[in-house]
Amino acid sequence: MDENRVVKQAQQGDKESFSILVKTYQSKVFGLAVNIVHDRETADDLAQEIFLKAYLSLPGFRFQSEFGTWLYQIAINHIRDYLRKHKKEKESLSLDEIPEPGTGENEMDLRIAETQEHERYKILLRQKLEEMPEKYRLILSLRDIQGLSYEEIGKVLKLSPGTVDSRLHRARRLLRKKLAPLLGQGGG
Amino acid sequence: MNCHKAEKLISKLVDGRLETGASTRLAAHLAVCPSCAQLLSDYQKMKGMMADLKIKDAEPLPYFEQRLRARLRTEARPSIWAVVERWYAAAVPVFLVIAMILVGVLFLVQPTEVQMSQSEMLLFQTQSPLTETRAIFDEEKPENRQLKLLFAGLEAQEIVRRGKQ
Repeated sequence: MDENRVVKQAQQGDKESFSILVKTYQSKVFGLAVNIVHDRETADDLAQEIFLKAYLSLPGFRFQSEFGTWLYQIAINHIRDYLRKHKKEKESLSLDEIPEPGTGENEMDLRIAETQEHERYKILLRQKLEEMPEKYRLILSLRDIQGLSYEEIGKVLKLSPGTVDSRLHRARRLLRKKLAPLLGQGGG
Repeated sequence: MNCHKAEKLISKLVDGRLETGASTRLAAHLAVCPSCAQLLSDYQKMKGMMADLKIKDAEPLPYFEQRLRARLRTEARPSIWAVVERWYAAAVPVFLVIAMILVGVLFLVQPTEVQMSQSEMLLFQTQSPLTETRAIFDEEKPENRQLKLLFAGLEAQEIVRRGKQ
C-alpha cells in the first residue's frame, strides 16, 4: 500500500481511503491509549476521538513527517488533554491496603497466590503512575510500556534528544521514590 | 565520577544508550558505591515492572471502524475553514500563474504610436488665432502686451518650422 497516495485520496474526501488508514492504525492508537489510561472502554472512546480529530485535521497534513508519526502526535496530545481533565485526587494506595492473596497449601494454590501477588504489584504500580505529573507519566509509558525509542519519543513529543534524556531521568527518580515500599528500600 | 553524574548515566544504561567509555567509568563507580549499585538494581526492576503492565496485542472494542463511520457522519462536518484550507493550497499557484501572465501582457505588449500627418500636428498645436489675439490686446500693461506679441511670433515660426520637417 502506497500510504501517501491513500492519505492524499483521503484528503480529497475519499472515505474508503480514510477507512484504510483507520484499519491500519486502529490497534496502535488503541494500544497507546489503553496502556496509558488502563481502561479499555475509555481507551476505545479516546481512540475514536483521535481518529475524528485526524479526519478533521487531514487537510492540514503537509507530508512533512510520516502519517503514522503525525497521527501519534494527535493521539498523544488528545490523551494528554484527557489526563489533565481527569486528574483525580486519589488517595494514595499503599501495599498494605491491597488485599493479600490467601496462603495455599498445594502447588496450584501457591501459583494462584503468586499470580495474585503479582497483580497486587501491578495495581500499585498503576496507581503510582497515575499520581505522577502527566509529562512524566507520558514519557515513562511511551518508553517503558510502549517501548518507543528515544528518537520516536522525540518526534512524537517534539522534544530534543537531550530533553528526552533528562525528562526520563527525572521521571524514573520520582517513580522510584513512590515505589520505595515495592522496591524494598528507602528510595531516596 | 560522583553519584549525581552516575545517576544520570544509570538511566541511560538501563535503556542501552551508554557509550563504551562512559560505561566503563560507570562500572568502576558502581563497584565502589553501593548506593548507586542499588539505584541501578531498582531502575532495572522498575523497567521490568513497567514492561509487565503492557497490554499486548490490544484491540479496540468490536466494530470500531463501523462506529467511527457513524460518528464521522454525524459529528465530522467540515468547517468553513477546512474547506477554505483545502482550496487555498490549489488556488495560490493558479493565481500566481494568472498574475504572471497578466503582468507579462501589460509589460511586453507595447501600444503602437499613432502617427499624425504634418497638417494634423499643426491643427493639434495651433490655437484659435482670435483667442490668442484677444488675450494680447486685453493685456493692460504695454510691456506685457509687447512680450506676448513677441512670443506669439516666435511660436508661429516654430510651428511653421515643425510643419516643414
